[in-house]
This record gives sequence, C-alpha cells and structure tokens, in this order.
Amino acid sequence: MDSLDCKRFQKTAGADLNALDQSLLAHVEGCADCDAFLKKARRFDKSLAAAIKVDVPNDLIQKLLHNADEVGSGQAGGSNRFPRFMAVAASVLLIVGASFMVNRVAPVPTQSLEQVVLSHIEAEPKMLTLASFVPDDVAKARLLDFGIEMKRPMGKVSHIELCDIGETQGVHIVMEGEKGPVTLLFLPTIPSQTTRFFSEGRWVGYTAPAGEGTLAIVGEVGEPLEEIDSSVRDAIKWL
Amino acid sequence: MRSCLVKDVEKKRVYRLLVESYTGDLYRYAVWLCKDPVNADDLVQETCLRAWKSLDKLKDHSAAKGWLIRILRNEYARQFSRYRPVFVETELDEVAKKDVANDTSSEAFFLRRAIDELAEEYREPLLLQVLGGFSCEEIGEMCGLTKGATMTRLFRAKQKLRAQLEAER
Repeated sequence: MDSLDCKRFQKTAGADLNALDQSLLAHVEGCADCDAFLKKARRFDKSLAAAIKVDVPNDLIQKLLHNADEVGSGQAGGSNRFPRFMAVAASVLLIVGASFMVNRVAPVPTQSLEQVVLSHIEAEPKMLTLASFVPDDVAKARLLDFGIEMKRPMGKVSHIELCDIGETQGVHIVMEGEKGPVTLLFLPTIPSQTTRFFSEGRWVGYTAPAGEGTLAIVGEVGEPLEEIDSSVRDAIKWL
Repeated sequence: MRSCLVKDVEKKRVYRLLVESYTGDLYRYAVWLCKDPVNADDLVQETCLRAWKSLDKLKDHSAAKGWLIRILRNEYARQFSRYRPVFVETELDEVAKKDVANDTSSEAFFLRRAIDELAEEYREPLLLQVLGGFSCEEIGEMCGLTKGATMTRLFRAKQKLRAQLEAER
C-alpha cells in the first residue's frame, strides 16, 4: 500500500467525492483500505444529504414571482401610465370574450396558448388594418354585448369582433398603439395562473389571468404592452 | 421604448427561470441559516427581491446559483445576524410542527444536532456543499478561502460529524 497515495485519497474523498481525479480513482482500484473508505464516505454523504433535506413550501415560487411583478410594476409607471397610453397612436387588437356569450366548455388544447394566439393574428391580417375607428359609444355598446362594461374610452379602437380562436371563442378588439398593431385576446374558457411571455418575428406578447379566463396581448416589438394592458383593465369591467 | 420593453420581457424571463430553478436550494440553505422556516421564507423573499433589482449585474447566467447564494448570505448577515430570539414557553408538540426536515430516523436526528453544534467555519462550507452542490473552488470563493483550506474544513466537518454519530450509537 502506498501510504502517501492513501492519505491523499482519503483526504480528498473525506472532503469532496466529486474532487477525486483519475489518478486517485486508479489508486482505489488496487487498495482495499481506500476502497472501504470510499464506500463508507459515499454512505455517509448519502445519510447527510437525507438528514438535512427540507421540504420547500408549495407557494414560495408564486410568492417570489408575484413580489417581482409588484416591484416591477411600481417602478414601471405610476401616475403617468394612463396619459401615456392615451397619447399613443399605434394599433391595438383586443380580443375579449364575455363569459355568457361564448362556449363555457374548455376545449382540449392541441397547441400552446401562445401558438393559438399568434395563429389567430396571422390568420386575420385584415384585422390589423386601421382604416377607420369605432366611435366610443359604439365600442361601449358592442363590448356590453360581450359582457364588458367600458367605463371610459380605452383609446382608438378599430375592431371589436367575437371570433373562433383555436378551439374556443373570444372577443377580438383592435386599437391603435404606439408602434403598430397590438393584439389582446380574452379567452374566458381558458384559465391561466401566471403571466407567460413569448415572442415571434415582429410580435412580442404575453398571456395573463383575466377574471376566470386569460387575456392575451400582442404587439410589435417595442410596444408598451403592459401599460396598454393596465390602462385597458382600468377602462373596462368584466360583468 | 422598443429596447426597454424587450429588456423588461427578457429580465422577467430570466428571473422566472432563476426562481423556478433555485428556490429550493435557497430555501433549504436559508432554513439551516435561520433555523426557522418562517424566517427562512422571509430571507428567500428578500434575497429574490434584491436579485430582481440587480439582475442586470448578473452577466454569466451559468453562475446564477452562486450569485443568488451570495446575496442570501449577505442578506442573512445584514438582517438576521443581529436577530436575538425571544424565548417563550412552548409545548413540545408545537416544537415538532416547526421541524420541516423529512428524515425522521434517529441517525438523521443526531446528524442534524451535530451539524447545529459545528462551528460556523465548518458548518457553512458543509451546507454549501451538501445543499448547494457547490465544488470546493466555488465554496472557497464564497467563503473567502483557498481550495485547499476549503477541503480541509469539509474533511474536518465530516470527521467531526462521523465521530459524534459514532459516539451516539
């Protein structure tokens, strides 16, 4: 037995099993003492890991994400959010589905929600044109048909339609934004728990909980989507 | 405005990834530092808020775990090192409810007690290795030690635990 190698082996294995290099692993193959030491060290590390294992609270991750959202939104805007939104001149496409107007049976999704949203936008290019705008009183009446009360003007709305979106229905509203067309989809039969961001080509967007359903908002890269989302939510009330 | 939004979306994406990947490691380490699940929860929340605020400083995402642990250690030192528990009379079954560990064997009980009794200089590298899965180099960097000194501390920490466990048997 090479005592120097044994000392080096046992000092390393006794500290960190992952630090054993090739020469030390070669040594253990021919040394019964070090082989026994290695087995003991492995057993001990396993017991140690089991002894100090701690269950993590189920809601901790959600709390951490929520905290950041709160801090983020606090830094992002404050009182100037609404006036900034009202000043924008871009296109917003909003799809909102009222709970009593649409099929309440949630379909089995065959695509991700993000894919459904983006496919719907791509499938209806005419909705992205902003030739004319819906007067506020007409927008108010149409939204009311879909179970949405418009408490104050949301901005320049060009389209409000009830659409088949993927395998469900929702309301599709187009508004002017800052950079170009933006899409918001309210899908009342598709619940969501968290905000999920996505991007594809010229579009960026996210889906977020809205009532018992989901609100998707999509616009061109650079569009202040969260400000628009916040202002729209301030301007309307789900009935 | 365009780049701000993209940056914000990217920041949220990175933060979510960090939280989903490392909350468990942070919380387990915090429980051992604070010796109390409620304070550990607070410590992890404070750590993640600080991480969120300074996420732009994280240049190498592969080093994120070490970065988060460093924030947690600093925050613990800042907030909890001055904490002095108030001693109150508590029923034994209430104490049992606060024990969040999984392994209820007698060996695990003795090991946990032995870890508690280790000097800080031994306990911290050990917890970083076992809970965090960090290498000796990484632990050395966090604790301000050379790789050799870190290995020596880990070796001695385990040696002390083994000796105490043997004594209990």
